[in-house]
Amino acid sequence: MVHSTSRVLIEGVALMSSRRSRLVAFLAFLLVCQALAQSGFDLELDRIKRATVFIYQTKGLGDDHVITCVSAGTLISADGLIITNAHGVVASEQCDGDSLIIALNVDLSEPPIPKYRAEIARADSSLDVALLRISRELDGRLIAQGGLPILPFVNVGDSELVAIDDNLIVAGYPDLGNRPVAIALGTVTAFIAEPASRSPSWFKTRAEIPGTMSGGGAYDRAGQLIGIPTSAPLHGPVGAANCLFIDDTNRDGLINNSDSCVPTGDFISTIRPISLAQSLIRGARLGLDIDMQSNEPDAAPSNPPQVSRLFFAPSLQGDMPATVVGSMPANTRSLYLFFDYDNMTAETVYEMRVTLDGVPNTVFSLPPVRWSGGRRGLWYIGGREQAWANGAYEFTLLIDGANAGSQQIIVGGGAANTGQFSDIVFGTLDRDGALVGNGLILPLGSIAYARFLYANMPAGTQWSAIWYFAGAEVARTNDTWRADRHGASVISLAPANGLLPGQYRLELYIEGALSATSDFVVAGQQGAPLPDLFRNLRYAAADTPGAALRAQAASSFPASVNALHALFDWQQIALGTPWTLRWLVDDQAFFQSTQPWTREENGRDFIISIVNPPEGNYRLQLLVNNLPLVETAATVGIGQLPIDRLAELQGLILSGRVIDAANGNGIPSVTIVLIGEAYAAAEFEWTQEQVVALATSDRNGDFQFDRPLAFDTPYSVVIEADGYIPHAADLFRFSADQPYVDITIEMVRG
Amino acid sequence: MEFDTGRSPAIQITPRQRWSIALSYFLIAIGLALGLNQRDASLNMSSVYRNVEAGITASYPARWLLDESGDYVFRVRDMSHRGYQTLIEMRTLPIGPDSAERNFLDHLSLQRAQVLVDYTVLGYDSYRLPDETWAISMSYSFVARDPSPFLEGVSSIVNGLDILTLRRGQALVITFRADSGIYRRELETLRWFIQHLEF
Amino acid sequence: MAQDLSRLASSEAGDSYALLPVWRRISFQVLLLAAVLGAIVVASQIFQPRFSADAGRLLSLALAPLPLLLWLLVSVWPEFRVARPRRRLTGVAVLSGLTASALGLPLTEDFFRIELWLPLAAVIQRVIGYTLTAGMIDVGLKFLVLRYLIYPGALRMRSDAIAYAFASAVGYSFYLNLAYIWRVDPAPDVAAIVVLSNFAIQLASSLFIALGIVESYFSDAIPLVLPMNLFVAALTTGLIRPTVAGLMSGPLGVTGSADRPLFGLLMLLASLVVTLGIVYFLYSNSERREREAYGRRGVNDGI
Repeated sequence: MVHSTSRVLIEGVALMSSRRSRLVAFLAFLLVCQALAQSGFDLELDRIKRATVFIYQTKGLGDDHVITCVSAGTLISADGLIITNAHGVVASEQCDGDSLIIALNVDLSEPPIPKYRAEIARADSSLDVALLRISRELDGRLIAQGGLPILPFVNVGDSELVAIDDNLIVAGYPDLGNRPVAIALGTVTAFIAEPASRSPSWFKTRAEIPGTMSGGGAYDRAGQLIGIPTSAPLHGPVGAANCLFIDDTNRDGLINNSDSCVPTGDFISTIRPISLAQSLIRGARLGLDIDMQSNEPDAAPSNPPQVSRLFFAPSLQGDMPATVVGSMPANTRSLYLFFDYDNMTAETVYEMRVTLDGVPNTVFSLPPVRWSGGRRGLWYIGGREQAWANGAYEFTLLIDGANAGSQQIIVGGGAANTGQFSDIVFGTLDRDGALVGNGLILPLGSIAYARFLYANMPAGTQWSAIWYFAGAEVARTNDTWRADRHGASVISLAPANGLLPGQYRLELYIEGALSATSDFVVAGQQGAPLPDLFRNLRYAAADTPGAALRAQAASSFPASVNALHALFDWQQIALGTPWTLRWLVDDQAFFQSTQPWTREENGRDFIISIVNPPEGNYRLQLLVNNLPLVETAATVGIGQLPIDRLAELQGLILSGRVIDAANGNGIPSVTIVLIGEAYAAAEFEWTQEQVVALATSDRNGDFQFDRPLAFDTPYSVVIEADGYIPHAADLFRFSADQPYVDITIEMVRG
Repeated sequence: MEFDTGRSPAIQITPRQRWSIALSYFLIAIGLALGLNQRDASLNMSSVYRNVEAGITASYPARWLLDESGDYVFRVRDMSHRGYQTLIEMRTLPIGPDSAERNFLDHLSLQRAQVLVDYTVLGYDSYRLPDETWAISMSYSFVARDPSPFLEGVSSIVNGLDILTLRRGQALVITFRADSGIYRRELETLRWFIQHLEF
Repeated sequence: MAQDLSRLASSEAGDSYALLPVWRRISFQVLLLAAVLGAIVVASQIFQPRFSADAGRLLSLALAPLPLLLWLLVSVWPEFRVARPRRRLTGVAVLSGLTASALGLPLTEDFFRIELWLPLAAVIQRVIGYTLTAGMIDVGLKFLVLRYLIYPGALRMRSDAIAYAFASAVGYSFYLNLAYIWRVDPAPDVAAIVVLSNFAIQLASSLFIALGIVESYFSDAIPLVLPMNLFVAALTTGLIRPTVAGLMSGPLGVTGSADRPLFGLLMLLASLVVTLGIVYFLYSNSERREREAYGRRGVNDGI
């Protein structure tokens, strides 16, 4: 259509002789192209809106149900998989509901209507992302497998392709479900990095997004889902302004402050990139459920969360600061605020407010979001490849709405010419005296070495190095600088009893000011080339984890296996040491979890299970500090993942309205029969095998086929309704540029 | 004003005219009779279903949609009816040495209660088949609605009737469902169906 | 208008008998009705006017009695000004309407239940089906009305049969119009088509009934002539009704389908012209033959 129109217009332009008429024609051409592009854009918007759902978390209260939390969500597969924020659906102190109700947009100009119940398929509270699966009718009846109609859904895009100033479309609900689905347009104004991933942890946008749109979808211009608008409502009195009282939860006959309220959160300006949720999505799509029975849950912290040791770094080395700075020169493009944190949980809400010369800077501020890290450790928030205007910046951290600490930095002027340490790496020395290792994790031994770079160090400068183990100082060196102005140096830690397993830190000071710092882990025995923490990683098939301990280890399993168990032994891992477990299928991660070690230092048979694994090639990786230490593969069945028919579902959604030509009223309960390409309408013999799809009109005469129709395939249509002249037509063919077609069929009374 | 009444009423029509009128009435009567016949022929037009494997031959109303793709032997539905589409379905179930007819109906009830809204068994009765044998019947009701969440489908109250008989080592279940508003009228279709059923 | 009507009254041969002439008045009414209703349909197609629900309903309902009002004005009212009026015109119209209400529509819809099977049938079957059901019922009832109200008592000359048959068509179609518009609440353009359709169908069948009566009564034709004419009358219903509906139902395509009122309008106009033409030709032919026959015998009574 676009091509043919363009061709006609171009030919028309060629015929015009005068320059002016050519200009007019060219402008007309541009306008037509823009209109056509706009119509495609509208189609995408329509599709996005249809796929956006409203989620109520509810709680049973006697015979009644009250709403505990609300959020938006997005259908990402035709069989009812929904992605949303975890904070609105996973049971927590703030959202203590036990049921999830899914409301769909039956009419895009009206508020959503509750239709189904859902259950959590996968959730990651630290990412604040959850995958829900529609499982029951609204009345609680279980939906049989394949019993759900094909639902409209959006495609998941690649958020790593998003760039600053890219346009964004954000879909969600502007309030507690009183108004229809809404669209906000905006641009990406900044990327915010955190240790959670190598790619940006957050996109910042200037779009005005109400808090109730949290959990909805952020889309690129192609209509691909690239993120989830995310905002965490604050607890307690600080969040009261954004908590609405809508139910008489205490049954006193009044709806007032003594009832429980539904948190809505403040305006949203952060978007969680979808790439961070890819493994969750993949796991949910495959229906893979990971059971880590051997992992004991960490007890809830008894002390309030806190942050300390706030400092700035201009760049990263891994997840560690390359160096520590107190000011930055003009044209700064990269800056990170580091801090230590403790007693944090996945329910902790944190926020970073940035001011430039006393004026709030919304670009680099991080509005309230759920804590993404562990309980304690070193964290950073920052960004790179973004222009930082000159001026005095103040970064203030708020935890659960309360000021937790702040730090200032001046950006501007020339590069500082003062002494500086940077780029600390840890390791051991080989026979030639060279530092070897991975820089972040050391095996048990007697000495730990640290190499660092130094610059602009005049002789005679006072410097010091402080070593910490498990938060306590274990060694300190105070000295006067005697080496060159620029170069690398190696220092070491040699405890009397050797290196114990646990977390270590080195701080380097120049004239009493922190100049560089880095953490490392000591765990496992000496291995080659990596420390030997995890051993004997193997697979077994058994119905229960207990039986898996006695089962024969293998690497290939039949497709009919009920549960696949991965078992491993471990040694010399201290409590609290962060470690990561990553499952992959066909080289794509479907599960990743980083958590502190909670078991004894040495042990056997840590079991991780997958129930009813589909056929595929599985690989389990165990990591510490993002370093894969051990991995093993296993094959289930023929090693070929089942083709997800619904995930790859492509086609046209055909809907429309059947009306009485006499009065324009919709005709209810009319059946529209779509016949396959092998038959013409005249050849239809009323047998199901000839039928591709059936649709029946509702009380307004509206109908929608319950499955997408193949593009460029000639269908035939038969419509018969008592009292009306029937319709029969052949060559119903739709091209691929028509993902949604809405037709009106007028029936004439016979 | 004085109106002229025209010809005198006393004027008699001729025998030929009398015959004309009589023949006219006859024509209209014949025409209507033919119309009635055409109506019945259209409404009772049938198609034949044969399943050699199951040993079933059935006649069902023409233009009803025949479906053999489910877990039943066959099912026919009146697709041109506006409202809940009247349905006749036949299925066979294996029977064990201790199976009683009621067991099958109870099994069906338990199954349906999981998926049908407000499924209620109304009662059991016996049903005389054309070959003078007796079958057990179960009447029930439930609420049907369009499964599409995006349509404003209005729920219909559906009445159903299962007729179960044990033949040739298997249980044969004839299921009939129609909108409660036309259920009694549509029962005639079921009776006609059973009369023409060979199994 | 009054001048026009008086001109109509004095322009036919009926003047010599002090009777109101028929054919020109029928033609005038058909022309006027077709023009008004056709204009509504065409204007609706061009301007696509949007009415509020109440205004649309009122306008549609106002169209239902249009043929009746026109007939009262053009055919009935002038009867009071002639020496030998057809005094049973209103009676025929009223009784026809009542039979349509009491028997015609209930028999068609509730007894024959034509909407369940006729619209879905093949074209030939639909023509036959409508002929044998709706056609036979309409014709039978109107013939009964004419038989017992005017045959033979009110038949003074051939044109009386045409005038009374026209009255039965107007009365019968009025009730059908009213029932349809009241129940279906169509848009004004559709109501115009329906009114014209019912009028055309009933006019066509009534004219053939009249032709049969004329042949039977005035020409004393063989007994088969009247029933044959009644059959043709029923057949006109069987032909026009499904054809109009079929033509109005637009083809279904990937963009949907829309009705085609102009096709229906054209079909109705064509059927009106053809029916009037055929019946007038047969009527004139019969009258000429009769005049010639009586002329030879020196009798011209009743012509």
